[in-house]
Amino acid sequence: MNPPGGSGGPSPRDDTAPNGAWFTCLPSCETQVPCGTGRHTVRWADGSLDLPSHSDVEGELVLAALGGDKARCVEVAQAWARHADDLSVLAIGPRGPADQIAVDWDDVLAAEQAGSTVIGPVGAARRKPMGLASQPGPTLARAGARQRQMQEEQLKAQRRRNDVLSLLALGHGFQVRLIGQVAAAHAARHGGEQVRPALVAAITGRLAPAAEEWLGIDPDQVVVGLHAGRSWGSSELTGYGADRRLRVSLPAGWLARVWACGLARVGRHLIVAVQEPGWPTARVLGLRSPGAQPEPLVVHADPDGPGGVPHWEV
Amino acid sequence: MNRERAETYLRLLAEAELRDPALASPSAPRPADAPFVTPPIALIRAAWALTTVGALDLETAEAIMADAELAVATRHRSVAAVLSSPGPRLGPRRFAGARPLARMSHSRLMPSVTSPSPADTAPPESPAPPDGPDRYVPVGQMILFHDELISGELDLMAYAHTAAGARFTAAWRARDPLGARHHGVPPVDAFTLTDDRGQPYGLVFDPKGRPESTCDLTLRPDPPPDIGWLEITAPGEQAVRVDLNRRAERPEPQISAINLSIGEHLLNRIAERLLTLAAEYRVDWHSRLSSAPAHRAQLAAPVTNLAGGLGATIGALEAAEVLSPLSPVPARLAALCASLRIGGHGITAAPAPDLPEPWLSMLTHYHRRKPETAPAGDGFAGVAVALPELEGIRLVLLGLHTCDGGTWMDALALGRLPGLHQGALGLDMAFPLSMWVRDGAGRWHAARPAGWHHEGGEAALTLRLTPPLTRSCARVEVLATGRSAEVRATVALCWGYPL
Repeated sequence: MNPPGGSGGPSPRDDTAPNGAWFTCLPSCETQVPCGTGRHTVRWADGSLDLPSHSDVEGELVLAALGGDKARCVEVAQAWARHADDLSVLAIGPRGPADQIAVDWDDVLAAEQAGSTVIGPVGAARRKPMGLASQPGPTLARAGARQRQMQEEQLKAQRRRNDVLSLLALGHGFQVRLIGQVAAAHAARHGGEQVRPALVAAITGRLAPAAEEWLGIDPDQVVVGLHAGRSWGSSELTGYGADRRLRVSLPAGWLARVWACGLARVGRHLIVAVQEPGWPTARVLGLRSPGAQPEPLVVHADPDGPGGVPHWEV
Repeated sequence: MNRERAETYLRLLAEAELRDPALASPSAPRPADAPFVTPPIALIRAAWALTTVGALDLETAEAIMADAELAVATRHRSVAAVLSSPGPRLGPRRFAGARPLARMSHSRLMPSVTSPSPADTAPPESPAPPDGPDRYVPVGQMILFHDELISGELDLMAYAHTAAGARFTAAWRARDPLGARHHGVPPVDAFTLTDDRGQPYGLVFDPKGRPESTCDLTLRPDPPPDIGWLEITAPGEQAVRVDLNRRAERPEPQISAINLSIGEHLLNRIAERLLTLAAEYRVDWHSRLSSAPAHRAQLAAPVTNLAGGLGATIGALEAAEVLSPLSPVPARLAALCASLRIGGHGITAAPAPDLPEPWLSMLTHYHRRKPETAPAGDGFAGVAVALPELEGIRLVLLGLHTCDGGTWMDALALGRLPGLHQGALGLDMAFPLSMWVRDGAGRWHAARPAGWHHEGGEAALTLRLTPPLTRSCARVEVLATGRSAEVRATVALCWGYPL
């Protein structure tokens, strides 16, 4: 199934690309989520989240709307859909295999409990208005409106944070797949002025550690530009010592098609594009050195990569 | 101004801070009782600077900081700590009150042109001041009072009559033969006032949010604009006649065009705050702050904290293209930090060989271990000087007084009045001017807002002088600097007691 909850969101598939969907180089992955009294499997495959333990998600949502409890698996899938184009996912999520995020389901539960005790539903604290000796003046009314607005903002922020923590608790494999989905959504829209800073930072944050492994360059010396053309982009190494810079221009789709698929660096190559996606074999373009022409490479995946992300070799 | 580059800079800074090995190092765990996770100081400073100059909107800055905070927390395994905090977007905004300097007028000098105040530059309850001839008279007279509860003196510094009404700007103090301090107010309702036409008036006492020793005494009803004198009789005292025909001095201010970028203006204000903070905390300028003993380091914490992240602040302003890479101001800041022996500021520019005269004056004063110099005794001086408009604000100086070791300059601000915003780092960026006062001995004193009260399109303003005056002088030079011009005016002080 596709993730429930919400219409008008981005398509998780970047099917318009000439060489297939962004996730073609990714195998499925799954994890266990505490749900009800047990633990249920949540699976990602072909760009979609599946809930094999919940055969009738729509029915469960109707029941939840009528006051029943909503299954955590369903909540997770809804959170996934809500954040499928959320740039914050890029800012919070992992930067590479070595960047492990320490959030588990205990943290999620603690967050939910803290939220319900600290904030609670808006207006729930006082169901009956207190009697006032006189009508509240405009100043009091304004203060009340401000307080309500602040409470609503708090609640919204709390829900958002709980969403993000739930998604992080799914584990590294799901985290990188969500990053790929967000990046693919924005790549498909060709980014705009408003999202360019976030995309540049997201690529820099993930290219820099890969470049450090590739060239031994200080990650702070990696400068990324957002490439908008049809080609893969460009790269050059400039300066010496403290002024040394690796300048790389890549499209937003690199995050999805290359990085999220575990392809950022394969052997001695920095991978800049995927020519023929596939699993467990793909054809990619790799840079042997900055400024060089990228070489076509056939790469093969080892399905036992860390955290559900494949490890590739030439 | 390049807003896209500004946002990109801040996001890349967050990325760089997240790569900081200290973040991931298990050898540097957070204290278990730390109340919440805070983003790195460089990130906070850069975000503040970008929002202050208007290169980044508050919402975007908040969102970036919130994401950075959560990113740090999830790598620290300190999610619970984040949960115990008000939250990234919860509670008061980090940059609440920041009034983008960019929205302030900086192109107009003189003559003053009245224009509608934009909604974001004037508080809702402050209508634009109507046109009309205003009257400012220096006074410099003391009114003694005593009744069965309180005795003391009201020091009338100036009389001002504007569209908002007529009032004296005064300092006051109670005198208790037993030495105890009174915190009541002067019994002005028992005063009688009569003008030269026999019209009686009452007085309304209002400190208007300024230091305890300063107040406005508003006349009720509003008098005609051309009264010649007022006779004031306090309980138990003889009547005192206040001559209102005394001409306000009209110094011819020197106006110089300057061209400060908004980034330079912000950095100058930070430098001035560093200078005043170091003076206020009586930092020992002869020892390196970063290696000072614990108690001294604690004393100096506000100073070192203010300097923290200066390099990122400068980088952010340059990225936003509101600070030229060729600007001399970062090098001056580096020199100032070196003079104050503050490390860890992150400024990459080499220290400048020379500094602005007022900065040097303060540095020299304190390097010679003058902080302990006894301040001037309590006193007050009548002043009534209207300065030319700068940054859309016309300042009228209405008095100077020394009290309890401090020195304050009282003023009225007219024009495009900013709202009251005490910004981060104790920098009131809502007040768009840099103010300095040079005393009779040639020493410079920074004058920064200590109180700020809006009423009827005007604002009563008190500027605190750092360091305080050490002696009464007949004249002072006032230097007010905006982005497009600076004004120097020599101001005669009409002291309320013999010099």
